[in-house]
Amino acid sequence: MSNLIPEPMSKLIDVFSRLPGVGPNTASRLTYFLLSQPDISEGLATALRDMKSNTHFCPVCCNIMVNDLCPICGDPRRDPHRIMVVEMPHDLLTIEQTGSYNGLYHVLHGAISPAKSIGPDKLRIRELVERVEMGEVSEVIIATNPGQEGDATAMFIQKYSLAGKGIKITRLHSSGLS
Amino acid sequence: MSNAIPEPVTKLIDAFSRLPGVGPKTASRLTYYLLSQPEDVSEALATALRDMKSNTQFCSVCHNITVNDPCPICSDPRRDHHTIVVVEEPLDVLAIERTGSFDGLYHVLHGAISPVNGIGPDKLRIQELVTRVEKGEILEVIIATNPGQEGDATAMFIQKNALAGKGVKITRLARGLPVGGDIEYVDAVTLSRALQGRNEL
Repeated sequence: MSNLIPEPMSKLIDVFSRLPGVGPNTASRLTYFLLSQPDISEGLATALRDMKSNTHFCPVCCNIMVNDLCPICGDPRRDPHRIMVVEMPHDLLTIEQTGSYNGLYHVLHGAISPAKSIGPDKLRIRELVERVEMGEVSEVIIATNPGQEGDATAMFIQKYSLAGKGIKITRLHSSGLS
Repeated sequence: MSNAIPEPVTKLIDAFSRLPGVGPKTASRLTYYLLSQPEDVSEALATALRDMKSNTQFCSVCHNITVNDPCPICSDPRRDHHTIVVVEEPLDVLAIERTGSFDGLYHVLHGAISPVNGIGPDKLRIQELVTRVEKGEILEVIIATNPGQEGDATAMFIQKNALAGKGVKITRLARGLPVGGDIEYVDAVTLSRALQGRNEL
């Protein structure tokens, strides 16, 4: 019966269901919804292409940015001696919203996860080591998520990548409760 | 600080959150996922979205979504061309096809009458249904709109106005007990409809 779904639609269902948290049922619901909403569909296609072509990663902190100068790395009022290491760009935003951190960031773009076959080489750990080796950094605050993957990443950075580099390595305090 | 999110990123989050069942959190999770993936993943999604629009059309007979016109169901000579099932959405066609117990044709209305949402009979493919019936080949129209206010209103409109006096048999899907259900827990409306629609053994 699946040959009753026209091929361009089954293809879109397929692509949707490759997204995290989107199963085949959600994918087909989204597809049939977009069928009757050409504006939303077109808007989504344009936004997808624009995001990829108009953004790039900051060569220093690897955060996502539009202009050539990252607004955080390029801000002379910020403390260049401290780097907070986060998994994803939105983690950085959450920390910024607290207003209680004034140093720089480093975005790993993920966490070590053997289950998803994400090893340290797929993250921006190498770039972090290079930044530290340039000598200006005195403290690295690891703010990966509390949990297996974040813990493994924090431990890897602390015990291997930055071991013996002569800097202070700290981690966000996590209460035993949450 | 939200101006720290680059505009192309917020735009995509915005576009995702217009989808049904996708809130701002899911939208930003999807966006950051795509950001971390190689370009071809989001490119594949953009292409699939545009292809769906440009490579599909509505069947000129039944108004289901299709690549070729007429659609595979309408152009299948082995199917019974005298009986049509009227459904609200293309997905309803799939649901009925999956049962394997209907071999007639379909008619997709693309919605149901809903005064609240400003959808009147003229916004549905009801006129097209009348035209099909007037051609004379159809003997029975089975109305399979959803049970509920909007589907009921649509069914009634088709029966009392659109197809009234056209000399075709008009039926509607029975409402009954769900398979595997318990009579004890069935709601009163469903139970009384099941009683009205009882079959002789």
